[in-house]
Amino acid sequence: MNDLSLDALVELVRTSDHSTFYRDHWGAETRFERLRPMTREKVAQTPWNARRYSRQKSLLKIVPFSSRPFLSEWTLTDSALESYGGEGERPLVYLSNPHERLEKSLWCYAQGRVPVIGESVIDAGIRIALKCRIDSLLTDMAMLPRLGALFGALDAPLVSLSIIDTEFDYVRIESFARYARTTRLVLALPETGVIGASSIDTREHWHVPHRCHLDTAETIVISKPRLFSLPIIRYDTGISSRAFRFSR
Amino acid sequence: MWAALDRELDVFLQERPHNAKEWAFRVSSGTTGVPRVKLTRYEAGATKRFDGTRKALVCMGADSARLRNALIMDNLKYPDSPHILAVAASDLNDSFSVVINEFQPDSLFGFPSLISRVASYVSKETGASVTRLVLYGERVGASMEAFFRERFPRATLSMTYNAGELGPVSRPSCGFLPLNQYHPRDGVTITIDQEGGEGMIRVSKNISPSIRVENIETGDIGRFVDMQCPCGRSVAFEIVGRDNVDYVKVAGAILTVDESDRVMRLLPSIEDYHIDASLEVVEGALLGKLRLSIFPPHKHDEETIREQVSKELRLTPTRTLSDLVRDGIFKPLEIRWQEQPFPASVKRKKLSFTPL
Repeated sequence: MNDLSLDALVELVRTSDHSTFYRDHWGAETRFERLRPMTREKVAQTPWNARRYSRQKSLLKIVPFSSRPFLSEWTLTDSALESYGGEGERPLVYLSNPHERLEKSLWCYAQGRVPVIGESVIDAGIRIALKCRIDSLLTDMAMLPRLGALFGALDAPLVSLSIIDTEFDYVRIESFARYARTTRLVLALPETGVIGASSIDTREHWHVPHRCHLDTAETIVISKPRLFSLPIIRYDTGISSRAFRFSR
Repeated sequence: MWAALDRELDVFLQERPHNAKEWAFRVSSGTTGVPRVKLTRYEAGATKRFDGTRKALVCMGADSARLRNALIMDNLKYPDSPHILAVAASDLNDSFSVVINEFQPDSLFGFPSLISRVASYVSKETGASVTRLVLYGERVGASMEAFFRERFPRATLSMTYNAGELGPVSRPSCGFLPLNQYHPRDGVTITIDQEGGEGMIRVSKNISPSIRVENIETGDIGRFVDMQCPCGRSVAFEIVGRDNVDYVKVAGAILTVDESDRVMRLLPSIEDYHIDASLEVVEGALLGKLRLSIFPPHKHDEETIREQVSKELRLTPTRTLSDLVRDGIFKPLEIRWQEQPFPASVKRKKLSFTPL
């Protein structure tokens, strides 16, 4: 399904035969800007089958969360539209969560690239990556410092290094940035996809993804104008907006 | 073989493929200590792996194997199924039962040892929703089969034989053969060094788009089955065990002879040893078990030896036997004293695996 206006998405979700999850949460309110934000806690406490708005083939991920883990479902068509990685023909996908590794690897396929997925045994994963002559990397803050042996063994700087996370330690990132021509910062949650993007050189300014709507009063509340399996409509990410200055 | 595969990989890496989704890197398990990579090609829609499946739980150890399964799903032409959840061993913690029972898969694909661990998190209702178990890679003994049938009472069990770097060797189950018996895949030739009917299985097949190998040892011991299958095929073979000279796999862990030798060298009073790995059902869960036989006997040191070996013996890249015992994945190390030196035939193999 193509992008919708936010009002059309709200109407579609409100009248959906698949689930009453959002409708029950919103009550009678119909104006987008006054809809009660959805919370991660509420999603985590609601069984997967009770919050699904599409039935297309999909990949499910286990999302760790403080109260209990929950299932996040993405069709590969939808996740392909997110902007996780940067330039590069032979990406290595080495995020700390195995479900995120898998989804971001499929994202690479959708961009026409054959990825190398990082194995849980790091030594082996690095050897495989070098053998496949990877030229770009998608990773996160937890994994980045564990890949020192990889950076040290590269013949040439990576075309791009993409760090996908919710918090960024700029000092630490800068110590690795010399191993890549560009270092992208991608603010994302497993269930929302990309919330914003920046680079280590321009980290004072974060770009909002195309057609994505952010409300940044205290925490970042995001909406995406597309009928995902779990639609993202005034979704409270729980991420403080103080650390990020967004612009189109 | 590997030199040819490396050359093929080098050529592939030189330019972007026309259709990326047809290609994947297959990674060997690294039991030799050196992980290997080879190229695999999937023609879109060529596999029937997920036919009839709506919700698939994929239980495989390597990330590259989980990725290949997800890629196969992506390449299928059906718009609305399947939904795939690919679990890793690290998912199996206290809260895993919440998500697995929410998902309620109808089919499970993967290694018997990992599926058996997943099974201990599955509710009775979820177990009853499973209609298909597709097992790869490891022999399933009678007790494990009984365990699966008790946990998944409505499921049909089928097996596919994959041999490490060689990839798939057997056809998908025809539905008539018992577990551990297989028909060779088209284009695959099986030879068996027959000694009393059983011997090393050797395989000849195309292992990549451009490379064919001949008579490669699989490390598995098997025999031909004399039969005319109701499906119409007349060639079948059975896996009876593994020629465990270098390593054993049990309960998702790998014990290599290098590692056991290293640990035993820390105990100079031990002249010789043998470790048998097995699985045991404990309160409905399948646990790994190691039985260490030692010569000569030092019975007064039993507790010290158990503690030291458990603390040192590394069974995964990050965890020792002690860790796995603490996490409820393995039983405590069992020690047996060998009053006489090991017979020569056993002495050649320090590791063995006894199927459940």
